Amino acid sequence: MKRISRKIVSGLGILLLCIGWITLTSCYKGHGLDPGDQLSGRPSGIQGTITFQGEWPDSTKEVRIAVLKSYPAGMSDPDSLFTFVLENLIVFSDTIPRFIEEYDYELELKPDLYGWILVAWFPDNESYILGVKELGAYYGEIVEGAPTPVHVSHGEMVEHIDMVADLANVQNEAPFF
Amino acid sequence: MFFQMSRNNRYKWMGIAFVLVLSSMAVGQTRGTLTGSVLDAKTGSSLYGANIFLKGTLLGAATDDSGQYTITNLPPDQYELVATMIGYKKSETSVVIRMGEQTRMNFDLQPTILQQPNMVVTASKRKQALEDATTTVEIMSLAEIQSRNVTTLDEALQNVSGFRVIKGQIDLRGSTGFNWSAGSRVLLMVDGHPMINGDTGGINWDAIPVEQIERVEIIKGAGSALYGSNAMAGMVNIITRNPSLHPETRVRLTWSFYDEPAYESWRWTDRFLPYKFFELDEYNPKHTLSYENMDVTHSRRIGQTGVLVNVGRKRGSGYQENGDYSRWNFMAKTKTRFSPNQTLLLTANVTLNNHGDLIQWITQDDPMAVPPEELGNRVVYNKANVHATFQNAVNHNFAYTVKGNWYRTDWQNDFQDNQDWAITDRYGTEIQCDYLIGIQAFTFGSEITHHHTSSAIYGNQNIWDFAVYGEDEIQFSPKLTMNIGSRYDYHQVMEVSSDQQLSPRLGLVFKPARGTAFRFSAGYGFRAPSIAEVFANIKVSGVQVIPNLELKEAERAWNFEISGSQIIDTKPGRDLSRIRFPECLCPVLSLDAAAFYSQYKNMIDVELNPEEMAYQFTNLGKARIRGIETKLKAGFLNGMLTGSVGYTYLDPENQITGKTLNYRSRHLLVTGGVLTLEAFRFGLDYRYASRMDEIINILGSGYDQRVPIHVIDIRMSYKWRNMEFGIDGKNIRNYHYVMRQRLLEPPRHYVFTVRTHF
Repeated sequence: MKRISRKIVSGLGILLLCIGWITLTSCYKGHGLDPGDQLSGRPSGIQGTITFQGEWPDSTKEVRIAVLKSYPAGMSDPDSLFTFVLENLIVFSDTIPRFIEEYDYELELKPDLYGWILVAWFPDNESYILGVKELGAYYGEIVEGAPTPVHVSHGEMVEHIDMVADLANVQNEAPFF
Repeated sequence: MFFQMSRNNRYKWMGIAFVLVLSSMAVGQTRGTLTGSVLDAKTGSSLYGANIFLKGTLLGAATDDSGQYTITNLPPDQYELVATMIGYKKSETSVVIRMGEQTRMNFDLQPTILQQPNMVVTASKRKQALEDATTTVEIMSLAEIQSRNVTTLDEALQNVSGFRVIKGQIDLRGSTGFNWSAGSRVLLMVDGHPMINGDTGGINWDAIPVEQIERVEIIKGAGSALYGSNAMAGMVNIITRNPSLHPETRVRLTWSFYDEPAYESWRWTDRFLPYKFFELDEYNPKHTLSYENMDVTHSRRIGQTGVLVNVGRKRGSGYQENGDYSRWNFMAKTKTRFSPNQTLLLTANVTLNNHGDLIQWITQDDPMAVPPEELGNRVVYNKANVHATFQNAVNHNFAYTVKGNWYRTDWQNDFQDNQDWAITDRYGTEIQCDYLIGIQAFTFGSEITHHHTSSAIYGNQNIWDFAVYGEDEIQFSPKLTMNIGSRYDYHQVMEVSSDQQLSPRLGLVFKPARGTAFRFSAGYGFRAPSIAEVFANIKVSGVQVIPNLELKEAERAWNFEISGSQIIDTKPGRDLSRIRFPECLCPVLSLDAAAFYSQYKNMIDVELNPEEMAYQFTNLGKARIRGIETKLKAGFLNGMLTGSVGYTYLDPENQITGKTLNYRSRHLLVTGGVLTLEAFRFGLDYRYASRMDEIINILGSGYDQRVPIHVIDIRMSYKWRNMEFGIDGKNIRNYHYVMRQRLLEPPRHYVFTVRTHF
């Protein structure tokens, strides 16, 4: 009797364990995080949409996306600003088609933290860099204050870096401002 | 001096000394002695380490390895004598001590189905019954830790309800989340001595001697009223084993290997075992991703001193690129008993660790590989600590404890782009007094701590902390106990800032019936920013962290908890040695439920400073963490089958932004079960954490890597004579997840363990 009881008890215990195991393991399927097919073979960088507002000036020579290492917060002197831009400029993109309302872009960048991503407008009547103006920058969800920095990581194309480019800003005086 | 006295004076002093000796002998004769033994009622074997104490006094003893105990110098009186031990029912009896006599009292302790300890030492900074603690206390026993075959304690603690360890940081009921290893809102201690790094305020789990742990006490609730900074959300106290009285050697050997990840594109090397396992001619364990661990402990008594010496060696390849490590641990502990009421504990611990460093993966396509510019990055990280504790029970109602400790951390980066380093010393000293009078138990004391760091990234910094504290426990009746106390802390960052804080606490516990308890606690907690949070100036893996000398405010929080516990024995009064089928199916249940609420002010977290284009630690502002927690433990079949389920719901809110606090999961679930069949033991653990609502975008916004966490560990062990063999399957479903972005947690791996003692 004692031996039978022990067998019943042991069997019952194992049965309970099995039921528990099946219950737990059936709660989910798959292996959690996956490689993300969308990442395969892609370089790092940013992508998004530029929305143009206002009238395109006839003096438009070209428009490019500019990426700078950081934003010159608190700086107002044009000479200092110009020096800052030259020191912090990482890259100008290829030219963007002119006289359109919206443009989807993709720009390859090295992995790093970028403090100022903007749409730069170039006039056809002045030297290449002195007449450049900022039409708009990436501000994320908060449009006040400094632009939102973007961290680009290895092998990742950061999406939704959307910008609004206001063509009225070509009237600003200082380069990039 | 004595011999220079005149003859008269000499005789006078000799006379006084003679009278003193006689009077002390007279005192000895006016007191009594209590001795006895503690045995297992089922097997009759003697129990080592059982606690014996006289209720309402500070006097007590622990049994030696032959199960014997002795308490001397007892005033004649009638006492309530209590014997407790984990895994056994508490036993109480009355005993009368008579002048000059030796009284003998033996205990036969009944095993219990639920491995519930009876005594804790952390909740009130002194030994008290678990049921008298006013906050939720959870215990992880030696058996629970050993059965999981872990090599660092944080792996085992993941199975405590409401408890997570995120890349080394304790996240107790959502208190910390992950703060990039700087600052901890939960105080980690070893034998009551803080083990928080002096520079980062973080925790080095590799410096905890996991094989020497007797039990871990986890206090869920504000502890700043007794423990000050860092204990604002709770405490974890690791109680280490005492040296054995007879010569004893323990050996543990572990070998583990990593299985291949679920996706072929993630196999960054052909060193995952299955590639070569069935090709024996090609298989070479040295080339397999694996780790090995050896731990040897010897313990014995030398004169009045028990000595324990431990050497641990661990090395492994890790499962990721740059994941290799080589570690040595050395530990020595002595316990000297000068008299039955005076003991001195000395502990020294040295950890030497040389390991590769992986901050972030290169891509989600290849998450076990590092960016090329970080390949080969290494860190040499050494730690040393010395703890001393002297305890003296002056009489049956007054005792004092003097503590001193030193903890050094010394690390040096050998990175492609930096050679940063830091050497930090933490010195601490504390005097604690316990005084019992009538229905009240006073605990009061003072503590001084000094941190000094010399570093390439922190500069030379000095921090001083001074504190006084006091708490009164009033037992209005056996059913109602109240704790009330406070602590004053003064915190000085030399040449930068100073801060002070008064942290009050109130606790109530009501026990209307046997096995039932209701608790309430309210306490104010605070945490002063660590050296790293104020002074860190470092660039790692493209991320720049800059100092914030404006970070002067400590973070503060009010914590409230209401909880209840109930033990239900469906077959009360059972004797495990006699009960048979089908009565053995009647379960013993233990149910705990708690609701908690924490309101934070000036919570410290890392944020991007857009002007400096760098990250820094700042005061976020107001935050709130509230939630509920339940835990059910059950034992069936005379203890052959035990199981537990713990669920925690969290609502952590940043009240400035309205968003969920970073790195917090709203739902946490831990379950576990153990089946014992003769010499075999089978175990299973499952833990779940819901997807984190928010993380800080510190390593790129890129693609979302947050997934819920489902991890299952299984294990089996077999005991043969004085040896135990174990096989564990960790993360057996090979579930891939991250605890923080861009760092993959271990895939499925198998652990083989052999333990023996002689």
